[in-house]
Amino acid sequence: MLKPTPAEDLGARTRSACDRIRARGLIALAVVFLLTAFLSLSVGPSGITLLSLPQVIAEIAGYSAGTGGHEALVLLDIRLPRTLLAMYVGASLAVSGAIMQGMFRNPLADPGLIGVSSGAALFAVAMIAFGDAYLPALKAFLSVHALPLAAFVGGLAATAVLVGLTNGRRAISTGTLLLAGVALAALASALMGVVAYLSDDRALRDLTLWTLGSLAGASWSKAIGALPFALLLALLLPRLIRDLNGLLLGEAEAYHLGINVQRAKLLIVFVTAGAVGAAVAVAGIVGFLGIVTPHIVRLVSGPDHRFLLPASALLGGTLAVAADMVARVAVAPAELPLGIITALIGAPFFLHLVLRRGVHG
Amino acid sequence: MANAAPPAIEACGVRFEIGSKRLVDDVSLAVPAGRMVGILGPNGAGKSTLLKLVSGEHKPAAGHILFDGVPVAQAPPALLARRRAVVPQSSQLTFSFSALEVVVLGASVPGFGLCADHTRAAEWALDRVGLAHLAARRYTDLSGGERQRVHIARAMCQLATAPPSPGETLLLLVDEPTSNLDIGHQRRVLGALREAAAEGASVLAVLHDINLAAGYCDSLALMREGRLIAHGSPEEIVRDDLLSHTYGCALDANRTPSRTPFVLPITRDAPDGATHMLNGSQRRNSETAAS
Repeated sequence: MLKPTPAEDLGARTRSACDRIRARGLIALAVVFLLTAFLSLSVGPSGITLLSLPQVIAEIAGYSAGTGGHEALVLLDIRLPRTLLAMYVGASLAVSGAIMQGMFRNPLADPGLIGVSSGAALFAVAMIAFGDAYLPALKAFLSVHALPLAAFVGGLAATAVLVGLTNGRRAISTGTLLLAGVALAALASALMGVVAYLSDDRALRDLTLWTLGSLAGASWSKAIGALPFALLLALLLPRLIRDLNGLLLGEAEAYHLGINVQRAKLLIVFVTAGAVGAAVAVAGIVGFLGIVTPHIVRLVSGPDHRFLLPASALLGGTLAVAADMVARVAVAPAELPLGIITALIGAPFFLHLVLRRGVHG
Repeated sequence: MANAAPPAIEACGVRFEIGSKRLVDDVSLAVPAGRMVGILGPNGAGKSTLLKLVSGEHKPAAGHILFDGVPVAQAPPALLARRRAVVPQSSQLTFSFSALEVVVLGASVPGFGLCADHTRAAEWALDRVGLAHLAARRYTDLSGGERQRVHIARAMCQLATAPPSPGETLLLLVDEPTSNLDIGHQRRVLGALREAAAEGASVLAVLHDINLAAGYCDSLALMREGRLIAHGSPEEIVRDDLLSHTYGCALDANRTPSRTPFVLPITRDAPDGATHMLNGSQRRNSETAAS
């Protein structure tokens, strides 16, 4: 009843082709992702080059006697965690951007632009400044996870405000979303200024790094702090796909398709706040990856989240690793904040989108 | 109305209000499986609200609605979605999907499921509403009528890909499916819904065109100010007095030679007997009935 019969099967070839193209696209992106990461291991002031990289890796693995361990140390303790964190920051920001755009049904949503990153950064900075004085037991208990958790709470607070603005039936207008984001970001950075004044020099110096975003302080402890959020994002991603695809049609339509809309939105808010929070905790506010990446993917594949989410993760990771390489070598021996590179590329792109669509689009 | 089968949808004393405004008031309605029921009535009569109550989107303030014996208001969305699809009055899409991609969104395949699983059903559904040739066209480039048919195909795709549930009725809820369509497409869409009903699904459609509704529906439900005025076969419903009272204007009901009821508005300057062309002898004095 009401089902296609085998005779009505219309074009078996186009369909398997669609699956094949998607699979190939993801494999290609994954290869580029890994190659970029590998390249990133060979970039930096210390003299490990692409050519000597295999030798250093062999030395770490214990197969060859090397140069006395200095290069191995640089690779293992500095470049590897930094590359891994760049991969995570890019992937989580890009996926969060794609998810937020789906939930708000608005292609200009980005965790940085709509104030979620700022909220996360405020709470992280507050944790640095006041954690030791007011919550020493909690901070000690959470250890490396204290910052990501604080940033998660901040991101959650900012997202909650934005979700409160959506009135259910209609997609939130770009104007409302961006204006609310501007207000949230302004409030968060004002409060960050207050925090900086109240606290000592060290936190004050960190503040520019927070607002511009940088991976200069990458370390294994930061990577481990972010790990639970990375795992959570990866585990929950498949569950979000159908919800997000349904929500693209509208909230009532999503309900008609069998989606528990309130639960789906709650899950989305928690997942994105966690992913953005952890990214901000390790790298500060890195803007525009969340808007540039899903847009590029959509241009190629259309807005279906089954492809959009994994492809955004891979491409976002690639872009962040590449941007971080540029940040390391552009003004060597000094280093540019990562957020400057992403803003230099992302802001004109965003402007182009706004001009093309109009704010009400 | 022949009523041998047990009702698939049974609404009992349903009331729904927003604030102090009563949108649906004490409506009781039974829809048997395999029937197509048209909901008629003036704007603001509560037709769409009734449809939302049946879909489970709104919860009734009083009364209950049973779908195959299960109270709709308490049923989990996923359970309902396997057997009930809704075509909304209008739908905005932010991102540029192709027509086929919109229909695929209706498919009930979770997670990273492959395209092939549901694209087949989507292509079949598009073909059924006569849009197979526009599958790759961008949704935003489609005309209003084509968009409406894409959403009907999406609803069909949803039911077609749901896990089979033997012995359970499929339900299609359609809000003004023909409002943007020319008469040829109106007939095609209603024909597709009619076919779904012939295959055993229950169809509940909010319609504005009384003549189309009378031609395609098994029964018509007439609403006004949130109340169900009458529910019966097209012959019982398409009557001067009933329709003129419901819509608050003078209407002239008649029969074609093949006994299909139809209705025409009475305009003041219409030459007397304009509607006699078809079946003059049956024409009653509508002006009297309306007052």
